[in-house]
Amino acid sequence: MNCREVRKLLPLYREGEMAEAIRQQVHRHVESCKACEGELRDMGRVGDALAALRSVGPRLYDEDALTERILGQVASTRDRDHRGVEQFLPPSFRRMETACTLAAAALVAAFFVQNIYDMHRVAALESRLNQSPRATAVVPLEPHLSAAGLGTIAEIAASLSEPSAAQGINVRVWQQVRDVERSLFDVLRDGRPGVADEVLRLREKYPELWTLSPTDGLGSHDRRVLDREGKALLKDLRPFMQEGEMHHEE
Amino acid sequence: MSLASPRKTDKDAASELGQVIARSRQGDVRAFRRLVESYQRYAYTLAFRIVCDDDNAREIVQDAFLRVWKNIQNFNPEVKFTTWLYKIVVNLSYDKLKGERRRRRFFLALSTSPETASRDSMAPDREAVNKDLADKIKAVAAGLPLKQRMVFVLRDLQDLTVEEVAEILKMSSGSVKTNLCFARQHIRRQLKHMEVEG
Repeated sequence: MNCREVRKLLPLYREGEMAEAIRQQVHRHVESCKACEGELRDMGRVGDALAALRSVGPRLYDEDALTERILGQVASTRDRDHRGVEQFLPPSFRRMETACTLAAAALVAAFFVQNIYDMHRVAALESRLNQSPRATAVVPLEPHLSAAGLGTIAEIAASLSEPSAAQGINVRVWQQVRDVERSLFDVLRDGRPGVADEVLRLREKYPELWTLSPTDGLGSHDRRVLDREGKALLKDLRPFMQEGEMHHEE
Repeated sequence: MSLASPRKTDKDAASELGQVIARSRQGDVRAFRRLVESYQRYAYTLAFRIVCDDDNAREIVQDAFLRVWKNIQNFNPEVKFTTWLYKIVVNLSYDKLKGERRRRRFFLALSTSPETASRDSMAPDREAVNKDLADKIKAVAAGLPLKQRMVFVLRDLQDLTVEEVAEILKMSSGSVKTNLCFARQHIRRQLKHMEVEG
């Protein structure tokens, strides 16, 4: 066994990890070879130095401070985990989420405010209606209606509320006339004596219109009258109705 | 008392460690504190021996325990806790060294490392086993290629078995032995060179 072969085996020889026969060959060579003996001695010194290094504990440092730092980080990690799925959303999503929440809250608040406002409005209207002079004005109005040749309130109401009368005619115009008459009727009920004179004037202006009787059904001639005079009447009545509505608002 | 206290039998220590790990898995921070207090010195020693820098070593230990906390649900009780912890520390140290190409600085820093001073008070009999040579070895080891350095630190300084080193570094036992052999040869060669020069 030459020096080169022996030096390859020296680490194993030193650690005792080789077969006895080979170990003896290496041993004999080292005893007779100063260079290999020196090599083995160096190995031993390095080995001892390593053992010394191993036996040395860790250098001094503030263990408690490091422990607290680690546990502080653990605590913040736990907080993040407890926030659930939010932590995976980018900040822009979180901002959007906040904006959506605020918008939803504003909508709900607006809904409640609107409801409360409506309730107050309805209550105010009911209060105004209850204080309205309408109910007491019905009886004194009857003579005015008769003078205008419109018949009693009950008769007018019956003629206007008969839907079959509208069949087969220009429904749209008829509906409008009916609506105007109904409004007129309301105005009359509110106790404006001057209205009866106006109705009388209109009756003179549109003589054929007033001869129509919706309850008897309308023929082709009646429809033409309705078309012609009814439309004109609507036109004439529009400012009057606006005035009437204003009167209502007062 | 520390979980790794020498006064405890292996069986007692293993049983207690198992309980502490189980409680930590349930989110018990006080149990986790015991793990940190018991094993941070081991983790720090290993990290320091690899990166040779106090700040980096502490940072590595901190990150390592944070990883332990986050992944303790996946910890396999059949594996030794220290092996798992070592693996995390080694990986973090490796990343740190790879990221920092300051080997030369480490080499220079080692020769004036404050560890030398602190060690004197901890091992007064160390001079008998060649203090100067131990420091030189550490300095030379800092200049080893990364893989050899990892193997050398784990096997020769941390005194782990070849199998444990192989497990931690995900290498075969043969590869560990080869790297260790190269590392030792390199260290011996460098030491001789230093003796000739010095």
